[in-house]
Amino acid sequence: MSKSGETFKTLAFATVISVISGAALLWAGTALKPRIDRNQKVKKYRHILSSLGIEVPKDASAKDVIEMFETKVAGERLGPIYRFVYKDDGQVKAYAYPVSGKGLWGMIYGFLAVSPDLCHVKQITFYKHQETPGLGAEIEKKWFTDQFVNKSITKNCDGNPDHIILRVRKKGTANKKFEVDGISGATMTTVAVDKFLVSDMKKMLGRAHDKPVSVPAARLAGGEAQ
Amino acid sequence: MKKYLAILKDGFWGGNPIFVQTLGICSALAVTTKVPNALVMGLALTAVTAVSNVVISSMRNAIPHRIRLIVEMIVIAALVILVDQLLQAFYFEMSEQLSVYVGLIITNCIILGRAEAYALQNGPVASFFDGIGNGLGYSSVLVAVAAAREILGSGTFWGMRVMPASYQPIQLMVLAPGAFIMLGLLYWAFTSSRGAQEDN
Repeated sequence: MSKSGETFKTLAFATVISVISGAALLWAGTALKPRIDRNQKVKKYRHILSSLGIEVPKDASAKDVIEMFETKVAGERLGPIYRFVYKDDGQVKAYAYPVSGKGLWGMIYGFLAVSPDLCHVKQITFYKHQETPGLGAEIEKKWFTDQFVNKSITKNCDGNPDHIILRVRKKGTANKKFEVDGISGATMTTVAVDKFLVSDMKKMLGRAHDKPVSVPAARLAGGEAQ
Repeated sequence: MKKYLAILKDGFWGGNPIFVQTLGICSALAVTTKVPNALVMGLALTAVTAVSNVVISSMRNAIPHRIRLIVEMIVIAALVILVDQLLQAFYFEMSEQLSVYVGLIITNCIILGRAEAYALQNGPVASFFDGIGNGLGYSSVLVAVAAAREILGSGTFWGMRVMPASYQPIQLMVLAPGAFIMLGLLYWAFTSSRGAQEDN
């Protein structure tokens, strides 16, 4: 075969194989997307529920989780931010605020659940991130998130956004009374989490006295950004 | 049929990808803390190797030699993305636990190795069995390592308690060094038993 003929054959083959595999993936992606989206939604609901202190049985089906979320969790908008509310007997038990920011490899998303007076942390969870497994990805592990439980957010609980004392410090340098140990080997992730948590807690405290507008929780959970 | 059984056995035993070809060690260390994870990872890799072998083998006379590696990578990458999406749709929790390692099947040398060494020279049916054999050879090692690590490191097998309640789990087995030690021991056992066979 002539040289140009061979080049043409190579190009043609490359084009055909790319188009075929591209089409196959496109088809699979479209066909599976509803299922994957639903799985991800259920995962997010689980995180919101457990951060608010509502126990979700491990073997609860997707349907159970969605039902639990829709009956037990309310949504509120406060200007540009929003929160999820858990009420029991008409009494607010906890608020969960979405927190997010840039990590080392991509965005990190989570929920910060706090006591009704915005004084203490109830729970923190991270449900979506792309940090390195074994290093930055440790943020979703219990040993890391458990450190936040019952920590005060501001000095003397005065609610002043400039008095935030809850910080994530380099491992070993945290004052455990009010700070949290970071992850060794994942300094970038540690610094990133500290940065966006402080900024989101500031926003949360800054809007503490706004009048909340009721919004269905499922609609608020539909979006990722604040 | 006998020929295909021989191909299958060769991938599984004689040419075991991990112990003989020393391929795919990375994931063998990463996902072997629990047996279910190891099994799903092994099955995913087996499926990808078998299908990519068949696809590449059927095109072997048409693939231009110059871009053969690129074509192989496209086929493998497409299949891995497909497996990843299927896991996310139907076994969501498992895919969460395997995290990045499913995507990293792409970089598992076993698949490209079999495509290059076998599928390009042999017919689709033989290539299929070669893929299955190699995949099962890989899976069985993964499951063996995982079983030892889970039993010693957590005192459980498939999530069920098998060791007496007084058993103190060896934390080291769950961590990376435990995987190295376990794999090394199995490697030793495998090569010495095979050596004895060859001496006969």
